[in-house]
Amino acid sequence: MKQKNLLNISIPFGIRCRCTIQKWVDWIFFPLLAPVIIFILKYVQKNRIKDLKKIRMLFKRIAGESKIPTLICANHLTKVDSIYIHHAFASLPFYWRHFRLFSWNIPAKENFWTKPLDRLVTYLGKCIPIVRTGTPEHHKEVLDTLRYLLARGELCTVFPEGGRSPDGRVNVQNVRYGVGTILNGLPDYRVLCVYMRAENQKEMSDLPPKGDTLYFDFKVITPQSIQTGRRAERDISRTIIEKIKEMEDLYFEKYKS
Amino acid sequence: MEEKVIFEKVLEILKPYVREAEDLKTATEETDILNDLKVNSSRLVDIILAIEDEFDIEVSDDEADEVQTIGDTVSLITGKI
Repeated sequence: MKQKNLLNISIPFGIRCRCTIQKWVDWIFFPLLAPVIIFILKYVQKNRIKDLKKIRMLFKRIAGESKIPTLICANHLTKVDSIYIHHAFASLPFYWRHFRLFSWNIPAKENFWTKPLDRLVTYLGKCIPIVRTGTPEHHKEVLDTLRYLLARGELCTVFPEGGRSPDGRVNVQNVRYGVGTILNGLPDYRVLCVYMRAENQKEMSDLPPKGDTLYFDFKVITPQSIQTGRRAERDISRTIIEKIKEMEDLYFEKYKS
Repeated sequence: MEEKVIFEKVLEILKPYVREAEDLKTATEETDILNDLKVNSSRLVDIILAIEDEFDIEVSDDEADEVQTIGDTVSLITGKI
């Protein structure tokens, strides 16, 4: 049985239920799990976010102003980038009160689904695992689920490169068009492009360097295409990755020249 | 258009996306695009779009999903022109 929402995005009833249940369970366990993760990040990893207050103020203004479907697209350097994005954008009490703004993620199942503890944390962290080498049907189901969640005003985070950048730099040629597939056809949407980097991050790693401060920059764009179908998806995806690359160039111009 | 010509044109389209250009010299109809030529799966869409432009055809998502080998690609094109 399939259910169509107001934006004509059809999604199986079972998946709708699964998302709703997961969101409620995650919200209930959020006050137990999130402080532990933030403690590790701040006091074990000893990482800090540059201009944290300013970032949070801007995020509240952008995300809180309307329920336009908003997709967060970021560069990808470590396995825990999405946790740092969450931490940079808002405080735990804010997320507790506005849980839709705690974004959904799509981690690679092969990385986060092997150990029971990882599975639990992934489930409780609003994650929908994707099998990178999965069937086209599986990929379509995950992307449809994200479109459905976006249409309901939930935030979702994706990494347009599909994986971490091996040499530590955004590779425009490596963009995956799934991000365009998610957005193409939505009547209204915006993309929050994020560029983040630890000051001593040279190449991809599991975690940011210990004790490092992380730089964050973000821009809101509404990528469009005059094309249809796959060509539109390609145009949208390329616009997003090119914006992230532009933000990276700005970072290196400002801090590394 | 002869199948041989289509085959050559497909090889030309694949050239920018294969890891080792040398592999194309020994490619046959049975050559698997992803496994043998080590084409990044996310570039398959670019290949399909290039094929649409080159042969002035339209390929549906389902048809694109069926393509695995160079022979599959040639058959798909042959059936549409």
